[in-house]
Amino acid sequence: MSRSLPRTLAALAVAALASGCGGGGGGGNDDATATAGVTENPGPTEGSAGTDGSDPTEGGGDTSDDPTEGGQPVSCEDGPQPGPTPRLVRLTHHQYDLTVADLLKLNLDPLPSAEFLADPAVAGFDNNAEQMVVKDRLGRDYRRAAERLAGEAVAPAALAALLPCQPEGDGSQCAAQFVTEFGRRAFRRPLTAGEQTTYSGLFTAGQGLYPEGTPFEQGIRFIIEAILQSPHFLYRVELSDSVDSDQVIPLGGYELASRLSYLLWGSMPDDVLLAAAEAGELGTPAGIEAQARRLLDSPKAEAPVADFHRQWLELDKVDNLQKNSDLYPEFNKGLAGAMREETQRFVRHVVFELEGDYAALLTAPVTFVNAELAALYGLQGQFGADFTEAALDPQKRAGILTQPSFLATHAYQSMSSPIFRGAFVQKQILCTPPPPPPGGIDPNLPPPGDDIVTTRDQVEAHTQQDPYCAGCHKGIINPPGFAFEHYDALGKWRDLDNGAPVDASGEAVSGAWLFSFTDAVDMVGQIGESANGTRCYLTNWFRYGYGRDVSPIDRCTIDALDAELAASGYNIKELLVSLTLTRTFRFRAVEE
Amino acid sequence: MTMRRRNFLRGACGVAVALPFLESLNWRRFIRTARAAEPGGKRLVVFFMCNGVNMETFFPAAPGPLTAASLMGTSLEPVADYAGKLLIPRGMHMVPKGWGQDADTPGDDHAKGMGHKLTAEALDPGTLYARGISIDQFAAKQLNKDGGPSMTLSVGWRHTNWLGHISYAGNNTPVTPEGNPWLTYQDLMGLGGLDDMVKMQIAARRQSVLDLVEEEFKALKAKNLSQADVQKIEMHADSIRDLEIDMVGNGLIECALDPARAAEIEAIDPDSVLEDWQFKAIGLMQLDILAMAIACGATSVGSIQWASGSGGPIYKWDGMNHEFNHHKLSHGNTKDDNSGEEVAGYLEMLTQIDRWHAEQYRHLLDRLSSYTEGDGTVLDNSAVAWFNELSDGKGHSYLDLPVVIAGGAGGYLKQGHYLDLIGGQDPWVQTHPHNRLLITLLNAVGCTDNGGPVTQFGRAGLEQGEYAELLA
Repeated sequence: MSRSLPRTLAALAVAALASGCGGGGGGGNDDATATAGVTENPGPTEGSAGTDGSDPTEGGGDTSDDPTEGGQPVSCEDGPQPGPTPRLVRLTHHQYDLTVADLLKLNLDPLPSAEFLADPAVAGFDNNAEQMVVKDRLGRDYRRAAERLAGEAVAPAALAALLPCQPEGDGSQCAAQFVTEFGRRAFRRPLTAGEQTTYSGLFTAGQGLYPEGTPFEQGIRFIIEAILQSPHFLYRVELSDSVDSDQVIPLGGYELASRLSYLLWGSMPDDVLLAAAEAGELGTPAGIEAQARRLLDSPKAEAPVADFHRQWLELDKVDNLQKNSDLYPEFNKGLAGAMREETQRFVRHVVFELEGDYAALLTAPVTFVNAELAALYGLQGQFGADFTEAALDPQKRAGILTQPSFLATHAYQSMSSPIFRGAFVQKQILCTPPPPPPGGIDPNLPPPGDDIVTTRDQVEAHTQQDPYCAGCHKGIINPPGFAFEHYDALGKWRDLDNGAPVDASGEAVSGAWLFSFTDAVDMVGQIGESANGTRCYLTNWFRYGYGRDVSPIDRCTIDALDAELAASGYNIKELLVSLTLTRTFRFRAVEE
Repeated sequence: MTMRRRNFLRGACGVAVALPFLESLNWRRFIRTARAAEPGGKRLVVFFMCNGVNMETFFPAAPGPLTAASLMGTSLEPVADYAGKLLIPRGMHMVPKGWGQDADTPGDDHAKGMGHKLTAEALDPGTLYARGISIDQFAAKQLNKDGGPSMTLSVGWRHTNWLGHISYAGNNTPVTPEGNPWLTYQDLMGLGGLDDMVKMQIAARRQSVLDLVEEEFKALKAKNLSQADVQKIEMHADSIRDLEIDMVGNGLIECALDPARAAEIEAIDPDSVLEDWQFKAIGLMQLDILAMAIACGATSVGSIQWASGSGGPIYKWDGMNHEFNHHKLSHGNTKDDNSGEEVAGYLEMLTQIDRWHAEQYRHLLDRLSSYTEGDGTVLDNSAVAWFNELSDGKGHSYLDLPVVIAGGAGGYLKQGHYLDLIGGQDPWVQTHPHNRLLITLLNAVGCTDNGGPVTQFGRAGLEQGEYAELLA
């Protein structure tokens, strides 16, 4: 009885895999040789598809293209209008951790969300409000966290920091005052009269319901335990529904305060912001802008900026990074972690210290290194375990895309991957994602030989001969990847690849934009100044900042922001301020 | 239910009065009504392994009756004692087929192997998650009282994406497995193990908070919300409404382990549960908990998932001292991306791994048969199905799937038999889709569809009906 599997597949429905790459590369898939990309071995595809475990964004849906392009035409004659936004937005796990730390004034270790059911990873950003639901175990996780946190919050020293008063008598008066003030911070708005009664009632109900603590502590503890499980704490709730004369719904002051603080801090509003909401100061763009600038001047603004870039640049990939230890004996988990740290320090430096623009992110020839990274860069001098700022050779390095956190994670274990790198640039940096690779393709590049010497030669031979593959690879995926061929699988500079000089030049197309370059530094410089690059960066911030995908009506908002920011040079802090001043930030659309 | 909660709550204000009052309400009996499953009912357990097996050493030599002798020398030797309670149906292929054969099945090979297996649904091209419910959740809805979910456990689970999910509550709704045995055990125990006073205190607090939150959900729903927001609220409310307040189960077998074993589980460092050196220890704990939960009626359906597609530990215990992780070995290659060199002796290593999993499977069968029930054991009333993501891992094959079923589901399934469904034909003839196995298993444990037997499962257009060959 033979169990050997046939090694050929008779027919593959390649016609259905029509290339989604328009223009640029030439090569249609109507050619009879279109099947040549599918080879005899229908086995592993992970090598080429990049889906081998580490990457939650590869191979899935591409949310990074610009959905405001194409589709039904939207008129912007009346100016930008609010897009569809849920009324209930659950806190992300990251926001939950930051919020309870602020609310309870505690340093939390371990972070409560470490034991939370992970939100399933989907393409794009992990804060999409539609995906933020409570199901399976998460409700129980919230309960467990609430029970733990309430216990920590009423430890004597911690409780003193939370109490607005000295308890006297049975303490119920002070407890009621605590409910008023703590509730206002937890729900990010004053409690209703009914809520005040309900939660104050828990003060008495809770006494005797714990094995330890004074009656007063037990009562307060029960109040905290319940508040932390309330939907008004776990979700940002926006219930405003009076329509104004422009047929949109202006958000209330407290709703705006939460939008501001979660966009710019990833956490709850502070007392100043709540006071501004109460005083009606957020009813005008000027009032919002003043608060936005105040929030951005706080160190707390670093958290969402880091979280955005972590996701946009796919920095989590360093967690699963592996390299060939024969070729890269210096590689270990410590170096991988340093790569992430380097990029986050660089981003913080550009955004907050330099108060820089998008171009600086793409091109600044400086970085932050410890001894291991300094060696990777070939830097001379004394470096230790701490990170220090270092100038880099501007001929060789420029900004985030020449950092190892990108280069090493978009490479194989032993060699660079122009395909991974090029696809990343098109998808994440330019918002023109190529379609995912078809199934059944052969990931194995032809081995080096007489005519095939460099990695570039291998990739060209494998993907540019066959018109079907070439449709996406030749003009779209490969060239921006080839630009990085001066950087090996770890991100180290090289002049030679397999003994032959590196050719990092190319000509690529992204949408309607055709650009040619001599190497990566040249290319990222052009991208940094390009309307394609800035608009894509803005679009990604729109998604992350508003916690939702872009809908057709949002084109007008993005157009207006794009024009405004282009005029001011695309400063990143200004971009964040601008996001708080749009109509979609300040108003809600009337739902059908 | 709600009425009783009200009564209970009203008693819970002020401890001095409340505790005797609660006693008078017979709170113990109230809490015991949180029974998840009827005693002695049928159970479905999924034992899920990834990355395929060494097909040359997995199966007995020839189809026919299974004896301990016929398993000698195969990877299944560790379950030789159970030969009379095993059914090994061979020759099925996965549907949707994938592998370049269905033009409309997106995803790479590992994504399909994970997402299709228990759902028989294609993956969503946008998310790569499966487009429908999996058999474990389907069965749990029917077999568990109040339709509570299947218990989904994992060992060494590191893929938070589609490569880490086999269980689905529905279209695009993956159910994340729990990798920390202590978290599961605590939840199962409810408040068991604590003294009665503390137990009552906790129960009173939780009940009170649940009621308060339920009122808040109700008030929110009355507002001007979109359909999507209402659904969000309902999902949240549903998921916490049935959170047990105290002991769960059927009241016959205690939902608790030996205290010494429970202490070992509690002592696990939560940060270590995903690490390779804990793989075996955590695995055994998860199996103990799974068997206990199934036996005591906390759930009628559960699954344990060993690592993830295209991942897996480096096996360095029980006589194995491998240098490369399971996925690399499944390709016989030193690199995950298949770009390295061949690993000498990898086939023998794969056999070791398969055999080691058979030992874990054996542990699960031992545990299930240690609980007596009626005239037999819990195992006799169960179908314990060992699935694999793939068949031959090197070729990422979905043909000739390795499947083992232990326990006859109360006499429904054939026992002590090794079947070759395609009778020696080339597996590429593909006449035996695996969704019909899923249908067979659902019927075996007593699931129904519109009052009659289940006849279809998975993507529309697949073949229908159970495999008569598998029935007793």
